[in-house]
Amino acid sequence: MEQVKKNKEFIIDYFNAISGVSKNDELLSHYIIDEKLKNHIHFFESAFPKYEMLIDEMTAEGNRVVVRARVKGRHEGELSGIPATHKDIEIPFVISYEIRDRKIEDHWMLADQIMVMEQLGVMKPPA
Amino acid sequence: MDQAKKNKEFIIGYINALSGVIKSRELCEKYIADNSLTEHILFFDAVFPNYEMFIDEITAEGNRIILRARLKGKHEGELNGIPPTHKEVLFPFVIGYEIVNHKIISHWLLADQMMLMEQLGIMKQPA
Repeated sequence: MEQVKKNKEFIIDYFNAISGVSKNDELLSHYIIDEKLKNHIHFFESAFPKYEMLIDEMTAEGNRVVVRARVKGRHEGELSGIPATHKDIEIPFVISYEIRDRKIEDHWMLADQIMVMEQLGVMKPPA
Repeated sequence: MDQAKKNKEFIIGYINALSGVIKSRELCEKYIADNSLTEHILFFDAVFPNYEMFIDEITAEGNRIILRARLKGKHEGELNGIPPTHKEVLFPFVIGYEIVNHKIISHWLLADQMMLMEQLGIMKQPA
């Protein structure tokens, strides 16, 4: 139980540290040893500089913390071939972290990519 | 702790009961007291009859369960204006449940709709 509480606090610290600022490697390495997660954040940061993350719900068990959250950002860099639209997006996502000794060592995530495309005006919402 | 374990067993029982069979309202309501979830399941079972679900990970805390799973089905009914393609789909989703007295009383859901559309051949994979 105590471990779960500590892991939740760690994740809240992590969100507060990287939300709304430039996410450089030095900052990320403070919290993350999962290279795939770092690469994903660098990719997203290049398309949505200083994007914000807002926590909606946390569920923790053992070494795992699952976060339902939203990402808010402005599309200022190329995203998978789509040039910058300068549009604001806000999309829900779910991310799960495996934490050991105050480091994220593994993750999975799921986001609604269609919602991103709709908000960028690249795709129309379904009828 | 014990409550979390019971809730996990309940959700495993629920997924096993619904996976691969016709999902009638009567069957759903044995487990679900959240009408929006029942409606969602009935809608989706009309599109992908007898769809199967495979559990990849369960995280439990308090009354809450987070389920990471995959859905497998064949597109045999209209989906938001897309006529049946008779194609097989297999895509990941994450669902959060709140459980009280062996009933799901609320939920949220996130699925990779982009992957679904790609598998139906409606949308090409990003370059």
